[in-house]
Amino acid sequence: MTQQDQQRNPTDDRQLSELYRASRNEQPAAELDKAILAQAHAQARSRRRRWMLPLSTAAVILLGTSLTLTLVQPPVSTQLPDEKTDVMSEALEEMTPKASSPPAAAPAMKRQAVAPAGEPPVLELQSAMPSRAEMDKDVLAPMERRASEKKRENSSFGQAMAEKEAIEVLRTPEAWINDMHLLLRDGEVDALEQELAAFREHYPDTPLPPELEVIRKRPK
Amino acid sequence: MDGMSDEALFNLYRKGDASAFEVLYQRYRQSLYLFLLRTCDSPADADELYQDAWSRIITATKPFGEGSFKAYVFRIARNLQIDRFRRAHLKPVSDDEAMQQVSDPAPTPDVRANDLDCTERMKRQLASLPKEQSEAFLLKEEGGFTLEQIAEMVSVGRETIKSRLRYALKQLRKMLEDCL
Repeated sequence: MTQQDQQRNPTDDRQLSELYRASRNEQPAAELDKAILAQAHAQARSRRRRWMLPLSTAAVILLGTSLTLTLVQPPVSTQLPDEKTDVMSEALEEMTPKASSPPAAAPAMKRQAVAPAGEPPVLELQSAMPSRAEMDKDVLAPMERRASEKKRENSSFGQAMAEKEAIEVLRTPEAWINDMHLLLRDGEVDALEQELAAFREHYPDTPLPPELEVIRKRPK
Repeated sequence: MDGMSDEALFNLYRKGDASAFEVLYQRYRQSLYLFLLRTCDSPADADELYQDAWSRIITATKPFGEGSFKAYVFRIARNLQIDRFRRAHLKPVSDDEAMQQVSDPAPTPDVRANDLDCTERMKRQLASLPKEQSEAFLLKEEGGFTLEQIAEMVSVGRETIKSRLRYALKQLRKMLEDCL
């Protein structure tokens, strides 16, 4: 800008500005820079901590709440041994009298009835349930063993007699006569004679059909 | 981060980002220092005010409100300078006195000495100007402010600033004619 330009625009002088810019050679001391930046960093840390306090408080509250909810709600476990055994026993009971029903579907259906509707553990339980072969091996075999042991225990003479007596007491004359007719038809004469003797003992006044009476009176 | 505005950087810093402050500091480090150095009586005073000004910025608890960050920074520095004047019972020269000084300049022989570097002479001539004039000149050169912005910062009318600048430039041009 010339002197004429400066007269036209008295607050702008490019030549003076350039000369001034050339004189800008001073800098703040390095110690000043260091001190100012250190203060700025310290203040920034303090401000971050100011943000961190409410943030960490909120995080602790959230964690505590979720933990409390988790503890208060009943746990949904899929691998409780007792429950599993119960379910298997129930399934076995259902399966045993109905040999024709599909065995693999039974445990899952039973579990669906036990578990609340819409809960996911049903599928997990299905996978946790043993297969039919495993059930035969793990559950059925021991039960059969126990049954046979029990049968052996009951085979003593006294117990057998007591059982027989109990059956005879409960048996009506008509049912007894029917049983004896079956023995007669099958040709089991010895057994029929024993039954006739027992019948007469229990029901001395009840008349027997003639075909049975003949056998009873037949000399042995 | 270098492309961000001053205001965005300052907000980042207020949230705890120290690197945002470093960028801001680099932007205004030299201009603020030179503004204080040229308007203070001694480099020691300039150093002290410079550190105080940045300390005010660093510890500011409120946003700087309307206006630019640059105006905020220079306003802080200027206010600190005025406080220092008041504490030292130094009364800033009035506009009337300043005009009288400009109309009757008393250049020292060494300023006119041809053996001095023009840049050095510029510094000396600037220091010899009335404070209001040198302040207006420096706010324009170091801050890049317009007449309106300077007037608002100094709380005087635009025409007053225009007069101060005009006299400052006239005096400098007169004393540094051989350098231009």
